[in-house]
Amino acid sequence: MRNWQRAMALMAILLASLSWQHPARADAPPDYAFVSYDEGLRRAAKESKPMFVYFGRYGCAWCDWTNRETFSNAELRKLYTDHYVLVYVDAESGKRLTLPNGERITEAELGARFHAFATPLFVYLDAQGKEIFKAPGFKTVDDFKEFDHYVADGHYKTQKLMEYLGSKK
Amino acid sequence: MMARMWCGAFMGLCLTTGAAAAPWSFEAPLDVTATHGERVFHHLEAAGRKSIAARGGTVAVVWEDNRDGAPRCYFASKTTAAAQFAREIRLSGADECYEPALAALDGERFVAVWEEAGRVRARIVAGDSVGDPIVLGEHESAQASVGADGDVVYATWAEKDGRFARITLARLTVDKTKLTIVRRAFPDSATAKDDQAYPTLAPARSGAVVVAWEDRRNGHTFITQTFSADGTQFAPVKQVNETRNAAVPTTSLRSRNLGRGPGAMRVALARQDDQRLAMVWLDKRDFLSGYDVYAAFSSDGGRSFGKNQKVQDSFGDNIAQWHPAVAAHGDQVIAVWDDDRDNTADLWLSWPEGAGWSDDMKFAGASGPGVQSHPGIALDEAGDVHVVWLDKADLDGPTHLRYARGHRQ
Repeated sequence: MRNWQRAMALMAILLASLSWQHPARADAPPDYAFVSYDEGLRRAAKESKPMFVYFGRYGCAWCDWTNRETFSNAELRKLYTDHYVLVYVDAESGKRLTLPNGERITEAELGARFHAFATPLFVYLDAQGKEIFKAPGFKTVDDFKEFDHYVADGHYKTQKLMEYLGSKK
Repeated sequence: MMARMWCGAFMGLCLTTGAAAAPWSFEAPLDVTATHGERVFHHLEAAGRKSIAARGGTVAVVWEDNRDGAPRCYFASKTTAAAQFAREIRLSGADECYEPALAALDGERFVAVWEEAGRVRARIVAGDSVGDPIVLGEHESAQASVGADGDVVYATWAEKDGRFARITLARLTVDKTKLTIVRRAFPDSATAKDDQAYPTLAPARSGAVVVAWEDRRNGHTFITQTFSADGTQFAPVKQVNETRNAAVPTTSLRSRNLGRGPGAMRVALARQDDQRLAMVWLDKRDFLSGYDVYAAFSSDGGRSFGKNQKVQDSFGDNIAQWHPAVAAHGDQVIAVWDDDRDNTADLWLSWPEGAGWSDDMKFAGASGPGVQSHPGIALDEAGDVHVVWLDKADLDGPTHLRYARGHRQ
C-alpha cells in the first residue's frame, strides 16, 4: 500500500473513532420520509401500506449506530420507502398525537403503550395499525431485508417471525 | 432494605408483609368528575405531576378532558371528609387547553396554571370565586408547573427562546383572587443550547425556590436543578441524575450502550420543610429494562441533592415504570408511579425506610384488572395522602378520573 493510501486509511479510522466519541444526536435517519404516528396511521389506511415505526431516544447511541451503519444503505432506503409508511417517534417527547379514537396522547405516552423499554425499537404495523411484531436494538441491513420479506410477502399472516426466520435456514 | 432481600427469597409472603407495614390505609376510591363517556379522555399531565393539592381541609384536582370535543382544563374540589367532589369549574377559555397544574394557598385558595392558545396562563380559585386569568408566557410556552409556601408563589414553564425551549420562572403575588406577576427570570442564565423541558419547583416561605427540569444541552436528556434565595439570582445549574463514570472510556461497550448518557425524564419535586426536599424522576441508566424510578434528597434547602436511590423494589426491576410523582410534609415522603408488573398497569407507592425505600405497595381500586395510571399525589397537614389517577377498562378505552384518600395509620 502506498504511503498516501496508508495515511488516508489511518485518517478514516481516526475520523470514525472521533465520530464515535461524539455521537450525533439520535434523530431519525436522513433522507427517509418519516412522518408522525397519527399522520402515519392515516396514510397507511389510505395507501393500504404497512407501517414501520422507529422509536428513538435523544442521545441513544444504538439509534445513531443503526442510522449510520444500516439506514445509510441506499438499497434499504428505497426498499423501505417503497414498502412502508415510515414513522419516527421520540420516546421522550411531549409532542402531541391524536389517535383514531379521538384520544390525544404524547409521543412519550405512545412509547409507554408500545412498551418501548429500550431504543431503538422497530415496530411493524399493518395498514389498519395492528401490530405485527417488534424488533428491539441494533439491526443490520440484512436483518431489515428479512423483516421486509416477512411483512411485505404476507408471511406474518401464517407464521410467527421466529418460525419464518427458522424456516429460511 | 432487609425486607426487600427477604421478599426476594419468599415472594409469596412479601406482598402481605409489605401491605401490613403500610403507613396509610386507603378509603374506597371515588370519581373526581361525573363527566365521562365513550370518547371522553381525561389527562393528568402537569409538569412535575402537580395535578392535586391538599391544604386546610380541602383537596383539589386539575385535569384536561375533551368532553365538548376540544381539550379544556377543569378544577374540582371537596373538603377532605366529603364523600364526593362538590365543585367543578372550567379553568380555561375558548381555546384548546393542556397540562394544568395546581398548588394550594392559605384560606382554601388554589392557584392553577395551564397552557392555552400556546401561552401559559394562571388564575386563582377561592371557594366559589374564580379570579381573572393572567398570561405568564411572553412567547410560545407550555409545560407549566406551580408551587406555593405561605404567601410565596412561583410558577415555571418552558418558553420558546429562539430555536429552543428555555425554562422560565415567575414570582407571583396573590391579593384575594387577583394574581400579579412580580418578575420573571431565567433559572439558567446561559442561553439555551438545546431544549429545556418539563420544569417543576418547590418554593419556601423565605422566598427561596428550587427549580428542576429536563435538559438536552449535552446531547441526551438529563435532570438538572438550581437554587435561588430570592427568585432573581440563581446558583449554577447542577445535574442530579448520576451518569457515566468519567473513568469509563467513551469507546467502551458501556458508552456504546448509553450513548452520551442514559435517558432521564419527567422530574417531580416536593418540599418537606425549610431544609429538606425530595426529588423523583424516570431514569434509564439500566438501558435493558426501561425506565426506573430514581430519587435524590436535599438537606441544604435545595442547594444540592445527594446520591441517587432506586425507588421501586426488585419485583419491578425488569419492567418499565412510568409517571412518577412525589409528595412530602415534614418527616413524611411518599412516591407513586404506575407499572404493569402484574400484567396490567397499577399504581405503586413507596416511602423512605431505613437507608432506602420501602417495599412497593398497591391499594384496592388503584390496582387489579384494567389500567390505573398517571397518578398525582399530595400530603396534607395531618399526614393523610391524597392520590388521583386515570382508570380505564382497557388501554385504548375511555378514562375515568379517580381519587382516593389514605389515612395516616
